[in-house]
Amino acid sequence: MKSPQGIGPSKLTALADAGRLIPDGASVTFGGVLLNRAPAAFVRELARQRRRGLRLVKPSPAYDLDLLSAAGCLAEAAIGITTFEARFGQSRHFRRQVERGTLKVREHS
Amino acid sequence: MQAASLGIPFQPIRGLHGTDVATAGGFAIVRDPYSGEEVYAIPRIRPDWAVLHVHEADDQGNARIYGSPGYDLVMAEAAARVILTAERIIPGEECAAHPELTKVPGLFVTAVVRLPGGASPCACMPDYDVDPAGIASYLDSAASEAGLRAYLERVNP
Repeated sequence: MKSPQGIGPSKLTALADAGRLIPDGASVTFGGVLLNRAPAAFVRELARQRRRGLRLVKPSPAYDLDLLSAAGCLAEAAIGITTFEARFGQSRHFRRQVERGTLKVREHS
Repeated sequence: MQAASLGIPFQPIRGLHGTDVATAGGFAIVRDPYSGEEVYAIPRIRPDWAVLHVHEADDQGNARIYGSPGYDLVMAEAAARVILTAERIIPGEECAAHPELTKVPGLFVTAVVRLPGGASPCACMPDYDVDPAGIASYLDSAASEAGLRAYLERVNP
């Protein structure tokens, strides 16, 4: 389907199909800062699709990093700071994976 | 990612002096050929994908972000490919009529997903704030593998 200006075909995609664009082992960054404007529903879709070996790069992740850690989707995280902010405390499920040695972290503060 | 967004191999940084971050990261020092000043050279990071949740996008991926864009614009330029999830899909004519509101040009974008509430339980201001019950529900559920699986079925999308 052409867009109104006829620039090119529509890029509108179903969530599950967009999730499948990202293969196991890909490096990926997510928008937003801490608890603001993270692509949370997309992250849940990656977890539902059981993506494995992802390398997450993000200066200040929170829900996205924590959920993908808990779901076993990540091989590595390159981050600056992660926290659920004062109200909710630490990224506890991320921390658990790091303590177990199942997730490699590179600090870029 | 700043370096990748500019198409250069590294980003000079001065803030690391006196910390162990440079040693831990293996970051090299380079000398400014003009002033002789020494700075750390941070190698570029070019992610395969950036996934951004935006307020509005047209079907070509021209995207509007209201309020602070955070690092999203750098991410869009640094990553090899971009996927957008959007609160609202708007007509392309609207983006054409107000091009100054476009923060991420569709040129960079591979796919656009219409996903109202797509940042929840995180905030997408000014549309909605953090959902405290939603965050607490996630933190409790993810304590076990079965709990997380149930959460992912319950909170879908």
